[in-house]
Amino acid sequence: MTAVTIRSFAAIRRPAGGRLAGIGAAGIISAAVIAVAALAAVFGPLIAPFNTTVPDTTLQFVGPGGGHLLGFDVEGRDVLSRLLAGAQSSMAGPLAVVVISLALGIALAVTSAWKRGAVDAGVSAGLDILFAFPGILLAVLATAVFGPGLTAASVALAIAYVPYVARVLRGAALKERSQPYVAALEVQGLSGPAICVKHIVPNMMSLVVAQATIMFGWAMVDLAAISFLGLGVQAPAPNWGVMISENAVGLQEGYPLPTLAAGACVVIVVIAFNVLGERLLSRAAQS
Amino acid sequence: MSGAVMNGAAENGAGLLEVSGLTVRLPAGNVLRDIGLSIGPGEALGLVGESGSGKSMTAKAIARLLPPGAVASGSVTFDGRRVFDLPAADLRRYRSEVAMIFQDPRAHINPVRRIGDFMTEALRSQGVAAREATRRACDMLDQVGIADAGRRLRQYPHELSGGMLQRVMIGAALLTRPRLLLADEPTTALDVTTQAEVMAILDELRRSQGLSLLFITHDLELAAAICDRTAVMYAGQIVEARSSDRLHDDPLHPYTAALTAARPDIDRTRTRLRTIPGRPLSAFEAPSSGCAFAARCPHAADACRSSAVPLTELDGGATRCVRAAELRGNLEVADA
Repeated sequence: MTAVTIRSFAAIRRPAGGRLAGIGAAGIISAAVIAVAALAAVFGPLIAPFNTTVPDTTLQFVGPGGGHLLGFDVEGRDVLSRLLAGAQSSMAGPLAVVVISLALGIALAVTSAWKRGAVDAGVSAGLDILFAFPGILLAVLATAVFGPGLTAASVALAIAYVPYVARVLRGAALKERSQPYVAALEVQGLSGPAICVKHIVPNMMSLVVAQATIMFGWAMVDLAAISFLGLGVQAPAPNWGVMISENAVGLQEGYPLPTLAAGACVVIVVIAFNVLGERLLSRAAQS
Repeated sequence: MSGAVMNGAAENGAGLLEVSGLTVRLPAGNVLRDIGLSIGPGEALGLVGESGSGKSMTAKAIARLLPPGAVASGSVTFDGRRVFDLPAADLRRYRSEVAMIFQDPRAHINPVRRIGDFMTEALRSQGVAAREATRRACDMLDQVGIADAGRRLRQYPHELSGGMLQRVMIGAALLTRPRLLLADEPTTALDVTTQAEVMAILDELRRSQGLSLLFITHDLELAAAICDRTAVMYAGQIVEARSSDRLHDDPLHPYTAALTAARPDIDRTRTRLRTIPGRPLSAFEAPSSGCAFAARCPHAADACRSSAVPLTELDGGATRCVRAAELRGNLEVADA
């Protein structure tokens, strides 16, 4: 009994610590990692200490030393500088994917939850069809049609992610739509779209944020894979996926550091997003 | 006839709200059967009955808020417009003329928005400027007896007590100057002293604005105190409708009489409370032919079970009892 009371109080009053409360140490560390990656994405190209694109074959796969902490890559460019500069395209791509797929997914989820019936059934059927296409396949198709590049790949991936977003959020929207306060707003003469935009969507936000965080991780892996295949960001522009690909030859030649460093960046950031996303999700489920 | 509950206004066809032959079917069965009622301008109609008798469903049908899967037939007319046929834009206008107050204010107000947002939202959607809407909300809070209105508007629902929140809801409902108020057990979730205050405020504002009221409650005395006429529901039907002051002393339907007799009396001590034998029927359990109350009625005869009982007029009221005329005056009222 006491435990129940205490918990319901916790639900009403967020404990001190604001937005980061209730996600645990792992969640906070993850958030910090993501913050560092985000800073690198914004300022990386500016603070990269060395030129990131001009090759110097005399320095090919030269190890760390002399102010070059991670040594040189396959074309003799400073690895750390390329990692910093590459953070931008490596983070911006997933961000675009998340924003586009969330916008479409929320719109579809709320529309079908509000209209119910035939609209709901139609949207669900459409999403089921879209489910059949793996994201990477769609993205590769898009680059085949529109030419290689981050934009086509991101848009295609975003569309492939829509069913995942819409499926989860439809459930939340249905639950929210059946709340008594929604009926009360309806009787006040508010229009359906107004209730959806002002009440239902904001009240789903905790779930949306958690979902977005987890999807960011998937999108980063998928986009890195596409760049690895040479269909995303084009060399010599710096990008983590591109760097894994172009330095992979070093694995056989005994210089694994450049490709592994780029791979580590992807892995660390993706894990951070996944952990944070899961923590946010379980916090959203509690409230 | 499908039995509009008679009153002066209805006979002239001038009722603000006219419901006739309203039947609502859910997948489980019929929850409302042949509901007829009429509310004139400025008039208050009480709707009483046990839980599950269909009181709330009636209000929801009038507001066109039926749950998914519900099929409604019959007609609801508001000021000459057929409510079930209104297209979306007209439905919104209709709903700005009909306001609804719910039993549990805490569930019916978005918990993450401020009181001010809740109260001004409908006004804002009608194009009233933010500053003007806030000013009106402030005035309204004063009228429903909430002091320090400016601060209250900035608070969240969980910071207010249940009674205060219900006053906020009443205030919000009246802000858009509706013509009909549907009050669905507005005081049931409140403690008794708060109930009295909230009812007094509701009644006063209603009279000063000339508002029509459909007041749903299971408190017969409260309905009698507030309403001009009272309709009694049983198992999804209206079984009796009568002016409130006569309902208690001169009931026409055995169910009304039994309800009245079952009320404990504050002046008398009793070892056993009177009850109605059997259990209340849900609307969809009611027999398809015959009187739904027959199984529990001490006066039931063969005629009661054979065919559906229409709502018939009797001495200014209406009742759904085939033996109403012969039983009149012989029904058990409160203990003599």
